[in-house]
Amino acid sequence: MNSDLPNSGLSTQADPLITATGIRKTFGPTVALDNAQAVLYPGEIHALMGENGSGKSTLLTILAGAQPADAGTITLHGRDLVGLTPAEARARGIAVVSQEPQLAPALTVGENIFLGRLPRRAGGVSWRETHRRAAEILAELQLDIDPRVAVSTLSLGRRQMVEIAKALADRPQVLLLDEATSSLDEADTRTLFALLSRLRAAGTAIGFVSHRMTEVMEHADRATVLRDGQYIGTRKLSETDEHELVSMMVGRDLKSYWHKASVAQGDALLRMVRVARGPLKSIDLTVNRGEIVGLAGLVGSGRSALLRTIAGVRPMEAGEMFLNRKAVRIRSPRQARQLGVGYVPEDRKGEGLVMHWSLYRNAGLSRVAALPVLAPISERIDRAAYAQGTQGLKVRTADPRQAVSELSGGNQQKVLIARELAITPDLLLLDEPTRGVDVGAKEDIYAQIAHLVRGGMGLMIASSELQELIGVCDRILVLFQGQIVADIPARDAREETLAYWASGAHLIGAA
Amino acid sequence: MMTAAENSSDTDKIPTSFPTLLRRYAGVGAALVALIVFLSLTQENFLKYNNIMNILRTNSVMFVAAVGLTFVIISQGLDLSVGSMTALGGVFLAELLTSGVGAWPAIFLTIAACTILGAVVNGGLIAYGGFNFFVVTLAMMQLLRGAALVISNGVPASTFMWDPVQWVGDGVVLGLPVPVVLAVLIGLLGYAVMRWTRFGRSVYAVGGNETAARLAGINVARVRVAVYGISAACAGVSAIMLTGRLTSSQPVSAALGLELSAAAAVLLGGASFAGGSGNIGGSAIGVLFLGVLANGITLAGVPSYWQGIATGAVLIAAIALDRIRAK
Repeated sequence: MNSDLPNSGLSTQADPLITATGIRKTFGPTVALDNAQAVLYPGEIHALMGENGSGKSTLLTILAGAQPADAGTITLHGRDLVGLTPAEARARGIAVVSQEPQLAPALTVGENIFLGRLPRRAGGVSWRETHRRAAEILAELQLDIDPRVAVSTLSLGRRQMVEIAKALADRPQVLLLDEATSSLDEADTRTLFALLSRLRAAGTAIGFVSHRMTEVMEHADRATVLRDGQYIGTRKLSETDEHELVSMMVGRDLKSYWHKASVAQGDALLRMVRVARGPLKSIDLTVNRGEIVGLAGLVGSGRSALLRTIAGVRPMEAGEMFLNRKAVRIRSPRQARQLGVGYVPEDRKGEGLVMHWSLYRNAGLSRVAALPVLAPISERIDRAAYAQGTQGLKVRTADPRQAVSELSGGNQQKVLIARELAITPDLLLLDEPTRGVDVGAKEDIYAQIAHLVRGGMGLMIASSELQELIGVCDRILVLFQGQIVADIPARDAREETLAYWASGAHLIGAA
Repeated sequence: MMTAAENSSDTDKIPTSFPTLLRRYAGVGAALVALIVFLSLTQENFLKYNNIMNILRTNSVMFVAAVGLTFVIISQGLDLSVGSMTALGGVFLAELLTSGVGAWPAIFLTIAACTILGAVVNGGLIAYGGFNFFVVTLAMMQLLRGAALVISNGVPASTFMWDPVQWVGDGVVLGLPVPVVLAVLIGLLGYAVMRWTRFGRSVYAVGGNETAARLAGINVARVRVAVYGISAACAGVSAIMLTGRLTSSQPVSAALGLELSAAAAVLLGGASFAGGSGNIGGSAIGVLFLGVLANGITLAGVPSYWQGIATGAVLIAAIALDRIRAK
């Protein structure tokens, strides 16, 4: 193991705020945590890192009192916390923002923030007070969200910010975030980290789980790495680099994280001329065979909408589209599949997989859907689709007949990608292909993308991780308010450049 | 509510091995076997040929309705209009017969009319109008029963004179009751469609995750129209069988509550209101269980009023058992 002391990376005089040592947690025969530890100091942003299944989220939930540890001690201000419950944790100033949304969509933002402890007045709820205090917290977060609107009217990213506002309503001294940024775009992520820096300055101890290496490198002070439930080490970010952290996480040295393929591009595969639909305005673009085109842009910029239009989910209203030089009007997802367009939606649980189906069945869905309505099918179709689609994807499963819900996020994503590869597409559209996916699985997916493009496939990848786009794509299109505002070769692209165009900063100069 | 079969009905897996089959039907299947053994030992009349045929014959109407409902429930819907549709079908059939239409054409016209009504009104409003299935089929339950009463003036019409109708409801073929043979054939057809066609798979997909199904290329609206059409078609067949057995249309009392007992059977058979799971084999076991239970209550001389209490208790027990096993 590792001989690092928990605080080896930090030169601080302050005492630890919250510590967890020797934590053990088992679920039946599975050992989730074994002698895990984490030490958080006041005024630091501390990243908990590890692949899926490394136990980092479990450790976070134990710190938050959401589940008890089998062994080990947790101390707050040096005093032992025994049998911590979520309510006690909250009362003691430990707040948690979990990965799964905890908001009631039908209630207003203000109600959600104060749910369970709404300000009272003369026997009833004081709505004015609720909304006033909610507005205060939102203002502190620099969010222009009206506390009176229903949460259901907000985008995924905004909802996440409301989750954080809710956690902050109690003025916690320890704030724990479990993949809080996985549904946020660059701008919201920046807002969030700006807020976290302010909280840090005020002395809050912040622990967060993230799969985004850039985020950790940029914002965290220290990082604790877990692997297979065990404590591997804690590093000060100023004294380490991405490579060391990744090799600590996977337990081996990764030669190259990105798998950039240099492929001779072929003929034009997809051409769009002045295509418009809803928020999309006059889109002109070309994707060649053997080319990976990235789509950057804020949430709502139209990058997902563009993929959906090509995939036939929201058919185009004006303009022309050519696939393999033939004019096409794609009116349905089924027709898109029949024309050789594969589409992996953004939200794999909500829009991609049928969670209680087996891996086989999920892998066969797109192929089956493309058949005539009364076509006979059997399990053989699913198995064949699975065999073809997962080739090279390294899906980790004991039995492909198990429900896809039992897999880790990375493996679920692989099954979803396999489903589209099973129709042997010419053009593959990927919306956020590595969101919530661990490092190892990300690497597998990038390797598969490189392999596919070498075989002459064309790909379009929408992502809010700019580094991913730069690392994987040949060319990056930046969307802003439904229009393509920049077309940049990936080798010349820098995150700042992409963010400049994505945020609409070019308009300020023009005005 | 995460109901019964969500975690345990392995509609998804291949029931080749005996253990798999056992696991799938273990709950209500085992209960059915136990009930049969118990009744065989305690009621001397239970295992008599006549009694068994009686059970099958009286429950064939419910089973046919349950086949249609299985499609609807798997697609994450519910059709409350099945009973009223059956009553209206009987009235419509009697009207056609008395106005001089031949028996066979009248039978097919009745089934076709029910199918169209279910597909267009139930299916159309739900799939294309965006109405909630509960609201639409609840309204149709009232509306169709009302229509049956208006058309018939509430008066039963005899269909005794028309042999084909009597044959469907009460005839014998190859030594077996026709309605039983018909129910088995419809069950097999439904099973095959669910299991071995692209359409059947899309019903499971729509029920399992509607958005995923749509984005993967399934026309969700058409699937919904189809399942409500199928449910109504089955109600049409039930109408002919029931009218034949009763030798008359019964606008007031025919198939009262049929949709609910059939739905109970479907749920007992492992389907779930969460959608995406269940199968017609399970529904068959569910119908048989409720049928045998009712028969046992009658044989034992217990007032038949107890039947509802027994059905409800069994349904809750089955779902509770399923949840415990899923843990």
